[in-house]
Amino acid sequence: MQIEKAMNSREKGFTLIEVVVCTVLFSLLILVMSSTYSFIRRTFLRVDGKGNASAEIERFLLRLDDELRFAVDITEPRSEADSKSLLFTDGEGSKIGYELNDDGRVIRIDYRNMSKRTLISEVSSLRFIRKSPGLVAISITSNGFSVITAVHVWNLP
Amino acid sequence: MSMFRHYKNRSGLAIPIVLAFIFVATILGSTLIFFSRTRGYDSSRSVQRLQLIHLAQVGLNEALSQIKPLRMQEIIDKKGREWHFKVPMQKFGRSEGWGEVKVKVPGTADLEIVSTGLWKEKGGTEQKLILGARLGYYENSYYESGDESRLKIESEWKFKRLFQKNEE
Repeated sequence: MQIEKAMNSREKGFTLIEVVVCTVLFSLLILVMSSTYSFIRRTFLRVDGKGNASAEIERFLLRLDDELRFAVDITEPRSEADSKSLLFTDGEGSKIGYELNDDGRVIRIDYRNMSKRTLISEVSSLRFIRKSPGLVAISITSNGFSVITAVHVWNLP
Repeated sequence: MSMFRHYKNRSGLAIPIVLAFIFVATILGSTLIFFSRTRGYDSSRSVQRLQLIHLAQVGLNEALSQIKPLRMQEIIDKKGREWHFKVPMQKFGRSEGWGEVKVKVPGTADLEIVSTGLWKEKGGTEQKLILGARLGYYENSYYESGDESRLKIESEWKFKRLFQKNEE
């Protein structure tokens, strides 16, 4: 009697169909939300990585351009050769070197006082290509971002 | 017991509540996707601009290295009053960049270099940025220590103006 009364009651609780439909909808919602979150996270990481890499490369190239443009001599790489390191005499007569270490750091060495300074890290490749006595092309890749540029050394032919 | 009483006469509300949740989540999700896409495009545009500047710089510096060792008359004799060359195409992942350089000698003491950096992403339109320089040529000739058979010519190139344009 009590069971029959309970089965006929429409006062409280959810129907089975409601529960099934809600479970399916919630599952879909969670699936969509997690994939959206993952997409947004990947986009932000990629954009941040590229942005940081491009800003670091830009700072590095500006500094190199400032120094190399007024160099009076380039020792390495030799003419029409390429190298992982660059060695030149700046406008004040100091020997300056730029090189890529095995751990992916690009360091600047001032041979006058033997000071070393890390300019950029996580560099996967760096090439200095001497196209002519006064033209040095620079190819650098960091965090999947590559730049190729060239500096004309004003004091060299 | 009181909790059940609270839901009395509210059967059939579950689906509308879930749908309302989905509606709110969709709006939030679309807003986040929109912001992340915008940020992606902004980053891509700034990277593109950086690449264009460097490609144009390669051309400009290459032209300078060709011009600077020569005197004006040597340039006119060897290359003429107008010539051009290309910066070879480079692949950057899904994109490619190259450069075109035009050099003009309008008079006897002026030379203009126009270097165009070009960039194309896969399926995208071609983007370009122009860097230009106007150089002045200064020449001084004299006979060395009174010896009229030995004419010495001193020449110098100087920057007069640098300019940048986004489109030709």
